[in-house]
Amino acid sequence: MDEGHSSEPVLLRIEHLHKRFGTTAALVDASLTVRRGERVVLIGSSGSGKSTLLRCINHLEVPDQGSIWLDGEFMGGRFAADGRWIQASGGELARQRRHIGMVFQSFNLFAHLSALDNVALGPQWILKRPKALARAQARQLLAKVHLAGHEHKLPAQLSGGQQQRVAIARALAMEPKLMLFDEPTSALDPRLTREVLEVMLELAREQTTMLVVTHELGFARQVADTVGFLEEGRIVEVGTPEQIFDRPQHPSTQAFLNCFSPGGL
Amino acid sequence: MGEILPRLLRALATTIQISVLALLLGTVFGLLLGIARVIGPRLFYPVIDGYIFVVRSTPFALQVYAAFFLLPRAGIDLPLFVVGVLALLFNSVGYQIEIVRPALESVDKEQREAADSLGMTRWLAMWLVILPQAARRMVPPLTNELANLVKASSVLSVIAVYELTRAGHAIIASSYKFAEVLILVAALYFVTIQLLSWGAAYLERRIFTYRSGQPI
Repeated sequence: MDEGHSSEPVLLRIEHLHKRFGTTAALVDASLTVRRGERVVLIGSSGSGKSTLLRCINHLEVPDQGSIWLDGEFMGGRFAADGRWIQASGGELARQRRHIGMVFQSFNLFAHLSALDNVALGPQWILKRPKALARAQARQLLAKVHLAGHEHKLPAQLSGGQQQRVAIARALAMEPKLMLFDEPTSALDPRLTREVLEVMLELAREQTTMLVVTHELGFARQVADTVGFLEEGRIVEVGTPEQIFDRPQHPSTQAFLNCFSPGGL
Repeated sequence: MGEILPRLLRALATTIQISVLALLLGTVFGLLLGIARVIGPRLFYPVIDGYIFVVRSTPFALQVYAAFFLLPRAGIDLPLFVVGVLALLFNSVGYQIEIVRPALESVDKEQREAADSLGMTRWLAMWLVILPQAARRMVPPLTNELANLVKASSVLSVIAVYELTRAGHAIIASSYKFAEVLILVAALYFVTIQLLSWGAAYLERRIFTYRSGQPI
């Protein structure tokens, strides 16, 4: 673990997470810790459970077993005094999710709203900020992701890279403790990927706590404090970028990384 | 002929009043029940489904008779016009729930997930994200429903609501001008429904096209 963060408090703790879809085990006994300000990147083949892990954190998927703490609070419910598990109500879960920003592979911008309204919607309606303030902040966030001048455009009028940057601004507008990125550039061509990665790089420099699922290994190496490799629902290896990319210990990690080596084809 | 058309036009006004009233009130209840059917407590689902089942599997004329005979027996005495609107409303809400529900469910799951991930409750997500996108998809089937209502309102003639069909009937009974009156009545229904359809298409274009905000 990176020296710079090992003294920081734990922000996210995932313990012994299990998730099945029918007969497929999507997650098997997954445990992971993310400290405040830490940048964690998860890599692995498609279907290895990376996205499921991310989606379990904010309970878009409800884990079958295991626990998730965000900033010391159980996600999705709590234990009563007598040790019984009490499922969180819809309202409680919504409140917990406000602290976790999520960026999706397919952007998922609200199709009927302008870029500005996409970003301002959450602060205005969920955080109950005055409309003028929410919009002013949204404008600043759009400028931060290099989209000043595009405020009034609908998602359909923006390129994929622009849409994804609006989506990042939308998530940031809630001032989350943790940002989740679920393959944010997988639907983008190399040029648009670059636009998005540059924004993510800036966030990383600002000590945003990030958990990123990606196939962009260059980004992982450059940004990550910690890299985790998943295979068949298991986190098989966790380490610094140097440990994972230069001296992978697990044969699966080695095999996966070999696919990226020059001359591999 | 000179006095037939004005009489029919006055009756047509009643037909339009009844139909539009049933549609608008029906949309209010259709939306409420349709939304409840999608995100409301599960307890409601069988009740709503049962209601839809009753409406869809009984003839409208029977529903009209039921309103005409059963409401007074329950001690509720209402003007015929109101009984007619209520019968039409009872029928239309059943169909409108089935317009609202699929429209809501047709909004991409990803939109709902994005709303969830921001921390919206399901009701807030419905109001801010799902309903605005689904509303547009409800307009064509609602236009269809309005055309159905205009035609179905003719059944109210059986309980002597003086709408277009009833008026035609009355004029034929006194003048024996079958052909002229029937053709006129049919033409009036036709023109009315066409005008309403065009109006709805215009509404769909003007109000429900996503427009970007003013350039800043």
